[in-house]
Amino acid sequence: MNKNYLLCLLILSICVGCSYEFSSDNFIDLEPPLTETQYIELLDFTNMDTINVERTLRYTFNGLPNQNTISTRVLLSGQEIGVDWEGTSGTFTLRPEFYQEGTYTITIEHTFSSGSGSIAEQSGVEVITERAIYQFVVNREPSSAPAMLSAEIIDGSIYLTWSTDYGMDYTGAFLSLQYPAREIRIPLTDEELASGAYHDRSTVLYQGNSNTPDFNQYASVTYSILFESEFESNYGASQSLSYDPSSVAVEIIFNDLSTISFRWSAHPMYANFEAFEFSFFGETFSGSSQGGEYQVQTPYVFGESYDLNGRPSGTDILLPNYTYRDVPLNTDSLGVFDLEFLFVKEIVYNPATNSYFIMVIEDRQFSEYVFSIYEYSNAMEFIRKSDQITYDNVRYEYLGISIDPQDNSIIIDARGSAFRMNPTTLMITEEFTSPALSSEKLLRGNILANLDYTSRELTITNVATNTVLTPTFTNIRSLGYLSPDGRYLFVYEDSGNFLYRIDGNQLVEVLDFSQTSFSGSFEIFEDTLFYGSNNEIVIIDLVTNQSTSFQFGATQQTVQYDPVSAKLLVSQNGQNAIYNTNSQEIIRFESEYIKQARGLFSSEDRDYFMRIRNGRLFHSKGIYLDLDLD
Amino acid sequence: MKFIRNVNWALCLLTLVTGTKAQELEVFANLEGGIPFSSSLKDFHEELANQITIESFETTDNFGYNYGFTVGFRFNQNASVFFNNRVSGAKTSVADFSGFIRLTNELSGYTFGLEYEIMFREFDKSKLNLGIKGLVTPSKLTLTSESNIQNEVQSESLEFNSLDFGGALGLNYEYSLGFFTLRAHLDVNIYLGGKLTLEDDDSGGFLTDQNGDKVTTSWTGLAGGLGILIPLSK
Repeated sequence: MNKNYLLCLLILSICVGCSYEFSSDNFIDLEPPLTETQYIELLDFTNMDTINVERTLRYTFNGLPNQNTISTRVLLSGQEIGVDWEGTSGTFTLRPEFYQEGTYTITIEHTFSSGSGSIAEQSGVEVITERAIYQFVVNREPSSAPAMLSAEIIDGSIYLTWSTDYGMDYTGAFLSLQYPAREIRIPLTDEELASGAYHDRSTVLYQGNSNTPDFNQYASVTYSILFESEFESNYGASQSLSYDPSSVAVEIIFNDLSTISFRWSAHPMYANFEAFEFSFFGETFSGSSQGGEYQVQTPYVFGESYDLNGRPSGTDILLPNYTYRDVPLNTDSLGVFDLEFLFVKEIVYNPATNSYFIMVIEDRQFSEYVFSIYEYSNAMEFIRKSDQITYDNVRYEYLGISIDPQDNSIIIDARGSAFRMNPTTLMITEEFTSPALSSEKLLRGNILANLDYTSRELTITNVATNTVLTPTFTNIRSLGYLSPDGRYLFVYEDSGNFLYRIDGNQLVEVLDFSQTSFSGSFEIFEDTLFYGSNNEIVIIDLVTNQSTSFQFGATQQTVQYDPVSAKLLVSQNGQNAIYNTNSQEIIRFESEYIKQARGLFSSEDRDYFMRIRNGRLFHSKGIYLDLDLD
Repeated sequence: MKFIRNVNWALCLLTLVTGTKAQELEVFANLEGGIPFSSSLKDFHEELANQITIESFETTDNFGYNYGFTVGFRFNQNASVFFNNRVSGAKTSVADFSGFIRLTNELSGYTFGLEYEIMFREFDKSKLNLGIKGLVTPSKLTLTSESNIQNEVQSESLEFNSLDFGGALGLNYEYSLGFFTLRAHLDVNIYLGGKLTLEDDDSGGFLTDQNGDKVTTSWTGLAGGLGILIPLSK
């Protein structure tokens, strides 16, 4: 072998050397990751759901047990929003206040380790990102509030029902009570709302007087359900209740001539409060909301109109006072018929027809008055009226009617004229007329007294026999009085004041009243004379000349005698007394006498008057009271 | 270190040239294998591998053996000069469908040695010699970290050098087959390991373990070889 060759071989071996042969890598046979079973789920949400209130949504990642979350994020139309992630679920909040109305996209990106156990996974580079995309609609309006189905008053309280078909997108649900000037909102819990019913135990509707501000602000209420979102609100269909002031009926109960009680009916919502608070002439009293009766201390003025103030008390809202004006009389305790708007001149009772006749002045034309005779039944129901009669005189004070006790015909006094009217036909059967202002006539029974103003002669004539009685009076100052049966005549003469009795065709002086100061009217029943003088009422038996008297009034006393009840009614400017001629008992009472008539007769029809007829006490307003005849 | 390496090369070449002028010259070549008694490199590699916390990252090689070759010349049947190249290594790795992570330490030693043999026994066609060796071994440690995870390739290598001095005592057995002689030997190598310093770094730093102790190549161990011996001249 060549030495040089070997030398080169040795040097080459040194230069090349050898290298270490490592073992193979430690290969682990693993399955690559699969993503078929992993998904993101957004809970309680359906694609294109509407978001109209702040809403927190939860989503979950359903992965394999060995897969770990690396990151998760939510993009709202490309903009990342905050997420709270814990365990296997995350939450994020959609706040519609940040967005205009429209459609938005939610992208949930969840990045997690593969779970394969590979080197790449352990190194953190084998990650999988799962995406889920949803859309939602921003609607700032809350769900439509349910419709109110009914609002009813049952057993004095208010019961409401509403539909239970409604959406859940609201931040607040309220029962709205919309009054004309304000709204009350009662928060409803979800449970209360879902029940669809509500018992309103506090609302009381009431109305004040129309001349006060906001008098009807609590007279009606509209119930509805109100849904609120953070931005908007809406009301469901409503149901209304309103209060009619006439629903609480108030009336006056007549107890006696000096005391009354008020009676009121139940308030429609009586179960929602306990009591009314009434006030009457400074007197306040409490009355049950379910109705009741209370006797007031204020003395009753017969025929006077009364107002009563009242309002529900103890309510949540201070309700206004309402004035029950001209509280009507209870017709079981007092008779009522409507004369208020008539110019009533006189009321008489006719036993033949068992009806009442009333003279009513109906018209005035220049110097003439036109009147009719109205007939009312015993129950004071209007039956009919006569033809109109024209009274050709400017002095309506002379108009009057009376009943002829002999034939029960109706006698009409019309100063220069006198009429007899058939009570059955209401036709004039006799008429005595002279020039309008030249004389004054009185017809009683068959006796016609005629005073000629020019000659000052008084002629007394028996019209049945057409005989002029004697003596004939001259120098007469005025024709005083002719008794209903035509038996007594009272005249004012220049020489004095005398009462005559008519015996046959002769006039016989009975009493000389020349020294007597008359202060009121004059009335004779059969042989009993009644008149007012100064501060007393005098009663004289014209047969025996025995007299009695009692204190009453001062001047212008009106005296009326009712033979049926044997009671004497005396009146003066609203002060009245009923004198029992049998027992001498006197009942004193007040009555309303100032009449505020309006219209055509506002200047004449100024006073009410009282009458006692057939045991019945009348007030010319149209009120009557049957007196106890025992 | 470069200086020592150059000196060794010069010494080797000088010995080789001088030897060719000797009366009797033989060339020999052996395949070598060895088992280290212990190695701080082994502990170093384990420490290094433990820092990577990937599941199934397992060590499959860890300086458990070394192998190489030896070429040399023997003069007058008792003095030899030789060159020995041995390699050893450690490897920890894991691989799956997603890629691999690999940590390797490869150790190469280039030993220049002198041996003096004393015949111990002689037989018909064979003989048994007792050999004493002086060894100078420049070593090179290549630390490589590689990964390929989802086609993301990363690789980094660091090279460390050391100069180790040692000696050996062993038995050489030769069996003559006429033209050449079969040769086997079994030695115990004892080294004083040098510091493993980073190549191309003049800062003086060297490789240490977690305890701060220096890491050495520690070729110490049993070494054996089998080769041929060819006479070049007599």
